[in-house]
Amino acid sequence: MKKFKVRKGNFMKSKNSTSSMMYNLLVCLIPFIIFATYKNGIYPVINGYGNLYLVFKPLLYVMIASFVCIVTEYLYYLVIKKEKKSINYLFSESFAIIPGVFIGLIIPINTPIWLIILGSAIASLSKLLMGGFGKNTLNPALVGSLFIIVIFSSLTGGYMNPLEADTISGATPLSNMTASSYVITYDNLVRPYGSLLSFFFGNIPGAIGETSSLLCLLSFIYLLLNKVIKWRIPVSYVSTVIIISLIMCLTKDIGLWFILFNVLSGGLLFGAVFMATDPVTSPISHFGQVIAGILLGILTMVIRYLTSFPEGVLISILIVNIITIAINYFSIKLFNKNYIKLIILVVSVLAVILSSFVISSRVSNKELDDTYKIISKTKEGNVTTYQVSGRGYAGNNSIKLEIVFSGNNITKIEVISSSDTYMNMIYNNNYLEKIVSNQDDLDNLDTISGCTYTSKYLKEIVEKTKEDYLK
Amino acid sequence: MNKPVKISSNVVIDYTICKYIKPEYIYIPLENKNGIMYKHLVKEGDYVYKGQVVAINEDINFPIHSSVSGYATIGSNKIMANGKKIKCIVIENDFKEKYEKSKLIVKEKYSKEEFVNALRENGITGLGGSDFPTFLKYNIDKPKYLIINAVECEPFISCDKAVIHNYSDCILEAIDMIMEIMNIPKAIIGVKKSNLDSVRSFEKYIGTYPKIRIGFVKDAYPNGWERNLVNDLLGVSYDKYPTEKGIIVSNVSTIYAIYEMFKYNRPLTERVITITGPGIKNKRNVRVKIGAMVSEIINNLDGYNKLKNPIFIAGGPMMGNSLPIDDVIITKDLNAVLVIEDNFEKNLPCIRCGKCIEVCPAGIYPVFIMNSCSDIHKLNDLYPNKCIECGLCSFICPSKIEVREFVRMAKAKVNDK
Ligand code: SF4
Ligand code: SF4
Repeated sequence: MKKFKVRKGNFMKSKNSTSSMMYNLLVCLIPFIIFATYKNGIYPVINGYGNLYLVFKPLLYVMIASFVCIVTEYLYYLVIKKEKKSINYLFSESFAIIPGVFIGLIIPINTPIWLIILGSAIASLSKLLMGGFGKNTLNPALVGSLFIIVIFSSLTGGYMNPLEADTISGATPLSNMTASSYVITYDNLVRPYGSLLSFFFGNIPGAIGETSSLLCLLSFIYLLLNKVIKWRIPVSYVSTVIIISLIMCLTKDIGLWFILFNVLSGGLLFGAVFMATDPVTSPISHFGQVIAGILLGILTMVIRYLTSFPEGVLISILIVNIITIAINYFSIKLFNKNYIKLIILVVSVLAVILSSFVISSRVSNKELDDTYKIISKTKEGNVTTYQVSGRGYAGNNSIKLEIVFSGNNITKIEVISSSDTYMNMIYNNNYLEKIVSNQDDLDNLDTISGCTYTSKYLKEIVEKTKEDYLK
Repeated sequence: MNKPVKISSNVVIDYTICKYIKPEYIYIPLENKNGIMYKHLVKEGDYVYKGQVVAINEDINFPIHSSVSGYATIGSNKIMANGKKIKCIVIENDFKEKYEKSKLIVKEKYSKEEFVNALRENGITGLGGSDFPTFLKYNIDKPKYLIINAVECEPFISCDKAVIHNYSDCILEAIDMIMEIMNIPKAIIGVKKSNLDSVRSFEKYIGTYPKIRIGFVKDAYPNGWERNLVNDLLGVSYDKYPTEKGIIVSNVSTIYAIYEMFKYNRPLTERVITITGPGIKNKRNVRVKIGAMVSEIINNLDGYNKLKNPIFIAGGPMMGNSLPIDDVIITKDLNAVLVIEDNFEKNLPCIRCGKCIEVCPAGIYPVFIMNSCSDIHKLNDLYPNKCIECGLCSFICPSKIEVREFVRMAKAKVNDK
């Protein structure tokens, strides 16, 4: 007779493990860091913008954020829980590094370093306070990056690297769209960035590492083949966005490029593949995953088109993180009740359709009508003073000017009111004075880079007033 | 239905069957693994013939036979494959293998009733591991299909393959006889696609049996589960038992036992089990007496390899039980013994990846069951008793959580209420 140790459980284990899943994810992120280094560092430097620091910025950000996350976690256990955790624990059991890497990739390129440190610490803490790895309801990387992007938005310094700041007007494609009052034309949305191919390859302004849709697709395939992610979520997410965009295209007579614009901009694919599929914070059952994807699609489009936030991806994923609690709860209740599942599915599809009509009502496919208006015109001897209003970057009649003529010439232009955010740059560049001095040759007066639209609109208003005066 | 899972095992043993049929004692537990009690029919000190009925399940009149001849004592408690200690009838082997006279008459022809009765009288049960009395299955009207389960999907176990390798002709003959007696029009032998040896063994002889064909199933777990097998081969799903749809499913080893019953008119007293694993010196398929001790057989096979932390498993690596000692009774449903090293990884928190849901062949939600173990109302909604204890959830879990143990617990809770 021989004695043996008793072990409960089964005696064969698959090769896949939580750590291989997590590190597979990190492996997928490496190309993103390389791409970010190229796009935000090497490429601008080659073209004479920025300095060497810029080249290492993306990598530096990722490293700082990961380091802070690890340290925060270590300190948390040491100080609050009075446990000394080994490095091994932090890396292979609680995966402290992961939120850090993500934060490094989804914040604007100009974020100051202190803000990254703060955001990463908050991310890590949020995870720990919710119970640590495996128990957190919210995706820590999302908490951290949204903390930076939303609460400190004015301090992030924007999404543009120096090259983009100089060559591209407006900002990220989506803020550009919001700012131009949802005028959906190819010229307005895509042309400033080149073509849809730039969107696909990721050569557009956006958060550090999230812009390349090509890399997202490749990672998706890799993660799918390795069975790391819940593929139903990105698939139903992107399909929902496609359906909504398609309905918008059909009802508003917009070209089908608009579908791709929606899918390829705003880090949607990155969010769908990496953030929405985080195993811990996404629904467990297949049905729940499909529903979560649909909700994500609706929320993202609603936030993009119906609120003043241009970028909807991260926020909607965070919202769905919260809803996931309910989804998991109902997954238990609805086990085996297929007809109720069917009803829910039908309702969500109806919600998709309904929301697309609501969203379409917000957009238009034409350049805004020219709303140039002469408010008043007073003549005192030789001097004529016009008060006019016209189209600005922030919409119809968003610029009001006072223009003074004497003889055949403009002598003074003053802004009475304007809701354009870029008006500061106009003042800083003395653009109004430049218009006055170049008044006979306005066509050749360059617009100011960084606020092309505002300067263009100003010129338009001035020209129209002049026409009226010379009549 | 969820897709079965590919599981590879790299232990290869040859299919020749060695015999060890001379145990000193045999033990006959008075309760089977499903908790059915047997009443003992012999008294302390009685002389028992080989093949004599020593205990009986009175509900269905199902007997248990002695596999040796010798004097009986009653009362020693021994461990069974499921880890329970059960009171046993002990028979000290006198190595004479004496049969009762009446048992030696061989019958030439069976009617259906006689056949079903013979299955009962000879104590034939499913040797695949269910321990379900076979005669209950065959007692149906107008069966349409006979399916022979030769899939043996659990890794490491190879006793069925060994039986096929050695006795494929006998098995085919038995199938043919059963079909004739029962008037079953068609039979399908379900074999794993990758199991070329079994396929070849059958193909040697199958030409003479036009009504029997080989059906292939994917090399995945748990394709040997009745429900999967019937669905794969016939595309039929059923509610509780395949007999509802006129389908009889029998394990190959059971068919071979029926063959021996036809041939010798003897009760089921021997079976083939696989003894394997890194902890066993001589990994073999062994023909043993039912009621013998596993320890005795392993000692006869050169004993154990030295392992740091060996664990002893009665059954396969997926569904077997770890036991504290090797003194385990070989019952009809024990198909393998495995000794392996305990080098299992520590478990991490559940990451809610949903993989356990993806693989569960019963279509239930193991992770939700695990998380609601304390909430009986939720458990009732989740049907833990549909679990077939296949262990796939524990196998697949990336965090190495023993999910099945939680489901078992939940099952017990729901059943208790
Ligand atoms: S052990 Fe039970 S719960 Fe786990 S996969 Fe198998 S049937 Fe499903
Ligand atoms: S497989 Fe394991 S980690 Fe994944 S959901 Fe199931 S129990 Fe949790």
